[in-house]
Amino acid sequence: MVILIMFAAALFAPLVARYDPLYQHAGRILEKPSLDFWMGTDHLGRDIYSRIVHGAKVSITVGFVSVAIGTAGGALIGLVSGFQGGKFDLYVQRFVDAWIAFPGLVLILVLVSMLGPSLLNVSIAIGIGSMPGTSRLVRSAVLSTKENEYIVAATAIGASRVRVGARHILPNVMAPIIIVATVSLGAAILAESSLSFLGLGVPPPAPTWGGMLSREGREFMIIQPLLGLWPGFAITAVVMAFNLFGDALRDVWDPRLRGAQ
Amino acid sequence: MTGYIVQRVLLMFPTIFLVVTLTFALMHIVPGDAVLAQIEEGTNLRPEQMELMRERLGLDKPLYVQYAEWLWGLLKFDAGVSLFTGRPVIDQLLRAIPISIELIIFSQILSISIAIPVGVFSAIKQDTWLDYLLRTTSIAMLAAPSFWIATLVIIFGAYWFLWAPPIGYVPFWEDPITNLKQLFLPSAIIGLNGSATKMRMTRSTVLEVLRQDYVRTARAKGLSETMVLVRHVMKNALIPVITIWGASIAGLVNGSIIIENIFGLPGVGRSMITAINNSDMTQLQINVLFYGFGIMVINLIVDISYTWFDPRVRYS
Repeated sequence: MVILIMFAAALFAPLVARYDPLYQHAGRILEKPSLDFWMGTDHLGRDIYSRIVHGAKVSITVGFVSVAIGTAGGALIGLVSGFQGGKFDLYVQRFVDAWIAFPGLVLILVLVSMLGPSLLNVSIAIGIGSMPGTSRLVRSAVLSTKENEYIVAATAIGASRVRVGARHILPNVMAPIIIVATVSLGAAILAESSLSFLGLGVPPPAPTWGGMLSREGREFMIIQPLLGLWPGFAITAVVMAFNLFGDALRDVWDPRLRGAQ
Repeated sequence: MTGYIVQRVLLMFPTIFLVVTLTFALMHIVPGDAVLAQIEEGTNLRPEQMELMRERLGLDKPLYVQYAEWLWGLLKFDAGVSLFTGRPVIDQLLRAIPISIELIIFSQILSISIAIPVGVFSAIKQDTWLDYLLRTTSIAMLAAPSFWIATLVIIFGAYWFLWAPPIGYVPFWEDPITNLKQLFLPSAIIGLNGSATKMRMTRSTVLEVLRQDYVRTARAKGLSETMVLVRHVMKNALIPVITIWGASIAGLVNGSIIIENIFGLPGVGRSMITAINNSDMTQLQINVLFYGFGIMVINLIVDISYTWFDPRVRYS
């Protein structure tokens, strides 16, 4: 439900939002919610409701692009490493060990500061940050799948390794990949808002949920505390929705993990 | 068991090398250099001055020489001077480390002392309204960003009680009470955030253990319910909790970076953000390396502690 609302908000932002999120309504700063401004206005007289709606667009774009990058990269590494096995796997896994040793946010912060903050770079950084975790998961799924007899059969009739990997193993590890992608969406949105909060996310004036909570807005929250409430609610609701959705998918597709909560 | 530990420690060496290399690679992922980045800030230097600066920072040498110099420096415990303050970056890091470690230890104590009792309680009261309330809260806690909770605490504290959190840091041995006052809120926020997963895990493992035969036997021989819980249930239920505790530490570090910045604690995370804002590459580089090392050591300790907590994993 929340996910649907979020998609609608992101897709139809200009229609759903009541004003331009950047327009400064003169003389109407730090207002309480009213019929004119459903969630009030900020210190520059911008409509908060419109900014939240447009912020959804940023969050969802970064979320999907970064998860696409992270899942594709992570799945590829996990598939090749797990399927190839042997020395190759050993080396690749030591590399993943080192990669995973950096806390996600550290990796993302450094990448963004090196690449420069922009919508695409933030997505790339978050995607790279999520790759090693995904690759571990996919690798373990591949390791158990490749012991199946149909894999031996496919190899026996002379299918090439690439063919076996792409046609027989990949479809069988698709379920965990999709589950991990869904849960990563929540994490990616959380990471994006943390970056914006620290002032290293998608740069202003683009409205972002994390940015609305950051230093720029914080001074004024003492006068109008509601300013600090809305963006946080939006982040929490959306991340919670993706987490629950991921849990539900896991229950449906992977009964072995059921009850692991 | 000793054999396993030795093997695990030996396996760490290639990883250490890769972490060092990866840190260097991250810093040089983008063509261009720190001097150019500083020029962009608007100062106008003549080309000769730029050359001089590059030379002083060693940025005029080819990449592999810089890499070798960095490795060699690390062996001598020298990671260069800060591009911003001109002081050795290791000194700055060493000053920041105790603060971050104290923050993380406190937040862990708080998070465990919330998560385990609440998880056990929720399991005993399974399917009552209390259980549902606690579970819903924990799901929300998982999703609510810690910086939001911190912001709310600060603004509503100021709005309703005209109260502001103590900013800055006083070492524990100088003034323990001020120190605890300063660290309580930041650790509580990180701890609460991290307690959600542990609480859910505790609840589910306690529920599982409660259905075991040996628990029925313990009850049948007339042990009190408290005795059953403490001696038979908790002991077995906590192993998986320790497992995810280890896995959650990286996430905790993420939280500490943000919280240090909000509360102005001069820890490693704050020093890292400051370094990014000042485009202080050398400082950033050593802080990133510290995080990589820190997590690696924690993972090692966690892995070894499994063998101690759970005799089934005792290798060799």
